[in-house]
Amino acid sequence: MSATAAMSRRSVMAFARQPALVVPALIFPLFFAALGSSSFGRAVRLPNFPKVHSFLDFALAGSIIQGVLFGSVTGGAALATDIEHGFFDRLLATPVSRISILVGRLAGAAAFGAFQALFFIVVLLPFGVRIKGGVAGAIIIVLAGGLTAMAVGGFTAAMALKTGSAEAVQGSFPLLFVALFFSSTFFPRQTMQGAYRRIADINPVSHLVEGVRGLVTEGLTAGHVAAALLIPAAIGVASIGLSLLALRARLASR
Amino acid sequence: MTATVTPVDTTAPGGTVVRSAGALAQRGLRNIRRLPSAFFPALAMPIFQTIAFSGTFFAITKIPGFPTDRSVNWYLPFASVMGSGFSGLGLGFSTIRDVESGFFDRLRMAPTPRWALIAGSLITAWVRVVIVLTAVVLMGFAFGARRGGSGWPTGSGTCAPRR
Repeated sequence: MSATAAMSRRSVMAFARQPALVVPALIFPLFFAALGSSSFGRAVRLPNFPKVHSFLDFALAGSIIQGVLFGSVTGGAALATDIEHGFFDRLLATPVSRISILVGRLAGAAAFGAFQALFFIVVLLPFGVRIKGGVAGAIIIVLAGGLTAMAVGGFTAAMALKTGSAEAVQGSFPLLFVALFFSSTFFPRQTMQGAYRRIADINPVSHLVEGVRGLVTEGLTAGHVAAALLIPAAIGVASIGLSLLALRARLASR
Repeated sequence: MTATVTPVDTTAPGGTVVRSAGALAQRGLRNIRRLPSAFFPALAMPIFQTIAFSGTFFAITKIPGFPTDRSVNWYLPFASVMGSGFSGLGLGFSTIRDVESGFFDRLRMAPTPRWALIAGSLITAWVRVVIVLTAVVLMGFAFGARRGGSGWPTGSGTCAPRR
């Protein structure tokens, strides 16, 4: 347990000590939110657009999920860097539990994801964002940010353990872009048509975003709370399972 | 053993510039094939953005007063300009590579005017931009972009708004 805590602390410290790695995951989503708010401000009056107070209310959930996804790539790349630099091998030589190496990394990613969600809320509140779910809704959004970071971090950790290459993990960045743009992250599914709508309907990112968005735009309901927490939790079970398999394969190959 | 030095033809400086710039442009274009990872993002990103933006933000054309009824008409010029910018940036990166590897210093010792070195790179960048623009515009038209009204062709040379 103490080993896991120490590994988690190290992951969080790594985020704090390398601002150049984490600042883009904090700035870019805000940039997109500002750009969307000024460009699409009038779009909230479109037919089928969900009822929102302002486009910024709509954009908050997208900013959080976007930031968390970017941050998770950074976390996965950090694990790959540990492997490349031999730190991972030195950890294996210590009597620390193998799983705690992975769990520590994922807990660090979750802590950073929760921080990102809180950061976006705090920064966007003065610009007129209203969270209909209130303080409880905001707390659940922060928890959802942490869970989403852990879920996506599971995939990037699996990639890091499988390839041992930070460059390969960073290479997943374009995939995230595709997943974000073919979802309801930036615009509601109800306004899409044809193949775009069908892709957005089956894209899990749409459902991740909409759970959080419901808490902002509609309020604290059991359905929105469940969507915000259970969807990333379910994805997390699959991704952490994958990363454990990748860890086992890496250990077996040594 | 005697070293032989090939005399430089200084009687036709214009010809030297053209030959040097042409050779450097050829070298730059060969890099597209030999180092596709440096060129591919500049080609793929604008195509992706044309497709993704025009589908995701399809509904913006219904905003009253929006100047076109096809979202791809709106995003295609943006993606074209961005793709051209990225292609131009590639020129900077390849120059950095040459400076770091010392190749640029060797070029400076070559018996050719300095501006021929720049001209060669600029020709490469121009050809890269043409490749990217052709691909982006063709893809845009495949995804429904159509020429607009009286303004065709305007702006970045793709789609004028339909009024």
